[in-house]
Amino acid sequence: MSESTGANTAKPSSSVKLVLLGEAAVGKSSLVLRFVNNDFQENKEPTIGAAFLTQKCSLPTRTIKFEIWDTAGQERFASLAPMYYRNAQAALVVYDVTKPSSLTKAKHWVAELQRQASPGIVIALVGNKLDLTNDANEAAGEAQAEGEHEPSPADGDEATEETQEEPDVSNGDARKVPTREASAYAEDEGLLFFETSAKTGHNVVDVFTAIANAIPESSLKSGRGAGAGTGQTSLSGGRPAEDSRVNLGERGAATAKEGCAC
Amino acid sequence: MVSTADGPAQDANNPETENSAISPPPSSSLQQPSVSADRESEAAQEEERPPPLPPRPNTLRLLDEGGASLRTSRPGAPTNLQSRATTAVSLTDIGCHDAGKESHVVREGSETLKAQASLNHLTSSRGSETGDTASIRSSGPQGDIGDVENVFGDFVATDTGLIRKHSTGLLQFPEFQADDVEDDFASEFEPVGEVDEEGGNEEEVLANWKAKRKHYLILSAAGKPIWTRHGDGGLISTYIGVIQTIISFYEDSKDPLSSFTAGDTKFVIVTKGPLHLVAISRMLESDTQLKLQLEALYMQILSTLTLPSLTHLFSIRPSTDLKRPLQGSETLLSTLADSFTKGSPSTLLSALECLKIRKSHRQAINNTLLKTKVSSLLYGLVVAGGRLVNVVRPKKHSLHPGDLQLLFNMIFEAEAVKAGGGESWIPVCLPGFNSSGYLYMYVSFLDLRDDANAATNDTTTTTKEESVAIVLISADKESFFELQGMRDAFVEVCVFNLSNPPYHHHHPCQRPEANGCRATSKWRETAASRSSKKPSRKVAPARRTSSRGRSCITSCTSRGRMSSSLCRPTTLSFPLSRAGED
Repeated sequence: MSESTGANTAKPSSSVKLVLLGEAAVGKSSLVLRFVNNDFQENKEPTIGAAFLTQKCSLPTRTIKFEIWDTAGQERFASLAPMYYRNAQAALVVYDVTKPSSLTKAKHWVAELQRQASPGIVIALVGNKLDLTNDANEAAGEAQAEGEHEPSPADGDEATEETQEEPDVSNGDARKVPTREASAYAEDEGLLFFETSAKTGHNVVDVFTAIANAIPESSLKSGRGAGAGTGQTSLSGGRPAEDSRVNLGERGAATAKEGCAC
Repeated sequence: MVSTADGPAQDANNPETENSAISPPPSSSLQQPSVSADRESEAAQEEERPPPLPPRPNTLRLLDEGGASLRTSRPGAPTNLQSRATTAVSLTDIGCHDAGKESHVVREGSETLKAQASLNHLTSSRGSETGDTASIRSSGPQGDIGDVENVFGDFVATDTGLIRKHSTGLLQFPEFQADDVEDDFASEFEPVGEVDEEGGNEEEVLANWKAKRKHYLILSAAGKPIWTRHGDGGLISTYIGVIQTIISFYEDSKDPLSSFTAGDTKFVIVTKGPLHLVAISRMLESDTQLKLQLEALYMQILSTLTLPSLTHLFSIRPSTDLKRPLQGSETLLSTLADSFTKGSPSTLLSALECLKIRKSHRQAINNTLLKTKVSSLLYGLVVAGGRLVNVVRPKKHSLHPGDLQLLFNMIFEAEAVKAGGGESWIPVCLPGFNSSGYLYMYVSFLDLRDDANAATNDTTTTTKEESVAIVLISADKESFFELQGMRDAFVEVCVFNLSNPPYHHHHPCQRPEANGCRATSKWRETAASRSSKKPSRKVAPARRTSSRGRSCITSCTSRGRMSSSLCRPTTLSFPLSRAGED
C-alpha cells in the first residue's frame, strides 16, 4: 500500500484535505478504513459526527498526505458538512451500487460541492459495495468501461426491474445502479468515477491515487500544504483566515452554538 | 406519582408514593422471617422472581434544584452518616434503622445480607482510608422506607440462594451480579429476529419479543413509534396503539397516567413534551428507578437533537416521524437501555467510576492538562477503560454526571466512535449543561500498545478496558485543530513524563485550598471534592474532615468519585477497586 513509501522522504510532500460525503450506510467509513488501515469490519456502526484520519499516498514525483474527513451520512449532520468541505481540495462522493436513492443523494452532494466548495475541488464519484454485484471480480479500470456488462440502457428503473427478477442472493446480482448511468453522469459533471468494494479492497487505493494525481500542482503550492509535513500545525494556523470568511450558511448554526452560554 | 419532585428527599418524605405503586404486596415483608428460615424454598422461587435492582437516585431533578434542602434534613453527625451506604444492601440496613419499630421484622431476615454488606465494605475499602469510605457513604440517598421494604422483601425472597450458589463470583457488588447469573438473562439482549416477507414467522418473533423481561418504547404524542429496544416499529405497532390509547385516555381526564401494574409487570410512563417514554419491566424495579431510566433515555434524545430542535420539529408537524432525525443514534439508546437492564452500578447510581491510580500520576496528568489547555477548551477529560482519570473544567461550569454518562456511553459502549479508527469530531448536546445547543467533542483514543504490536494495525484487539481516550469539548465548532494540537501537546508531555519520572512536577499542595489556588484564576482542576460551585452549599461534614490533609484531587478522584455534583447526595460514587491497580 501507499504507506510503504515512507522511505521516499526526499520527495516533496503536501497535504490534501479530502472530504467524504454521501448517504448513510453507503460505506464511507469502510472505504476510509480500507484505505488507511487496510481493514474491513462487517456491520459497522454508523459514524457519529465526523472522523478525521490521515494517510500518505505516494506518487512518482511527490507524496500526498491525505487529511481525510469522514462525515456521517445521516440527515441531521448535513448542516455540518460545509465545515468539512470548505477549503477541501478533494471530495469523495459515495453511493451504494445496490441502492438507487443513494445515487440521487450523491448527485445532490455533487451539486452542493460545485456550488459551495472551493472552485478547484477534485470530486470523485464512487459506487461502493461492488462485491454485492456479479462483476465484483472484474478487473480494475472498469470505470471507463461504459457499462458493457450492463445490457440495459442508462435507465435506472429498467435496471431495477431486471435485477429484482433475480432472487438468488448467493449468485445473484444486487446491483441496482448501472455503471453506465453513473459514469455518464460523472462524465457530464467532470467527476472522476470509480466502482469500489471496501470489503474486498477492489479499486479503493486506485480512487485515492487518482485523486492525488488529479490535484493540480498549483493548488498544492498555493494551498495550506505549504508547510509540508507539518500539515496539522499549518492547518490550525490557517484557522483565523478561514473564520474571517465564514460563509452565510453557517450563521444559523453559529447562533445556535452561542446559545450554549459558554 | 408525577408529583415526586425535589430529588431523593422526596423518597424519604413521601414513602407512600413508592408504596402506592411498587408491586410487592404488604404481605411480602411479613413473610420474610419464615422465608429466610426456609432457604430451599427461596432458591426455588428465585428462578421465577428476578432480584430487583437497587433504587436509582433522582439526578435529573437535582441537576436543577440542588440538594441543599436535603442536606439540612440530614441528621448530620458523621457517625450517623457512617451508617448510610450507597448500595442497596446497605440501604436496607439504613431503612431498618430509620424505620425503627415498623421494620424490625424485616431486620431479622437480613443476616446473610448483612454479611454480604460487610464483605462489600472490606473489599471496596481495600487500600483506602476510612474517612473516604465514610464520605462516600455520606452521600448515599436518604433512607426510603417504603422502597427499602420492598427492595428488601425481594432480596430475601430471591437473593440468599443466589449468594450461596455463586459466592465465588461475588466481588464488590454481589447484588448487581445476581442479575447476570440468571441462566436465561443473556437472551434478554438477543435480537428478536425479523418477520420475513410472508409474515410466516411473526408469531415466533412476537413470542421472542414477549419473552423479554424489559422493554423500552418511545412514541410521539401523536402515537408514532420512535424507538423500541426490542423488535421494530412494525412488529409492535399494535402495542404502541394500545399504549397510546391508554395514555391519551388519562390525558383527557387531566390526570396523566404515570404507572400501572399487571401481575408482576410494571408499566411506567414518562411524558416529556411531545414524547411518551414507556418502560415495561418484569424485573421488579421501582417506579422511581424506571422513571429515571426513561429520563436518561430522553436525555439521550436531547443530546442528539437538542431541545429547541425537538420542540420545533413537533410544533411544525405534530405527526413528525422522529425516527429519521434520530437515525444512527438508535444504538446509543440501545446500549444505554442495556446498561440499565444489566444494572451497571454507575448507571444505576448516576455516578461515574474513576480509575484508581497513584496520586502523583493523577496530579501529573492534571497538571499536564492544565498546562496544555487551549483557549477554546470547555471541558477536558482523560478516560481510561470507561473510567474517569481526570477532568479540567472552567470554574463556572460543572459537569453533570448524567451528561458524562451519555458521553461515556457514546464513546465506550457504542462502538461507533472507536471503530472509526481516527480522531472524531462530534456535535453533542449535553442536556444537563445546556439543552439548547451543541457542543463539539474531540475524541482521540491513545494507542498504548507497543510499537511492535501497533505495527500489525490490529485495531480490534483493544478492548474497552484497555482503551484510553482523550475527550476535549469545546463550544466552537471550528476548534477541531486547536483541540487536536492540545491533544498532541498533552501526549507529548505525558510521554516526556514517562521517560522522566513524574516527580519532577511540583508536588501537589497538601491542602485543598492551596490546591485550588494552584490552578489558574479562570480554571481549576475539577477535583471530585470541590466542595461546591456555590459557596452557599454546605459541604457534607464527613467529607470535609476526610479530605483534610490530603490533596483534594487525589483524595477523592482516586476513590472513584465523580466531580462537580458530589456535594449532591444523588451523585453516588463508590470505589470499584480494580485488581492490580496502584
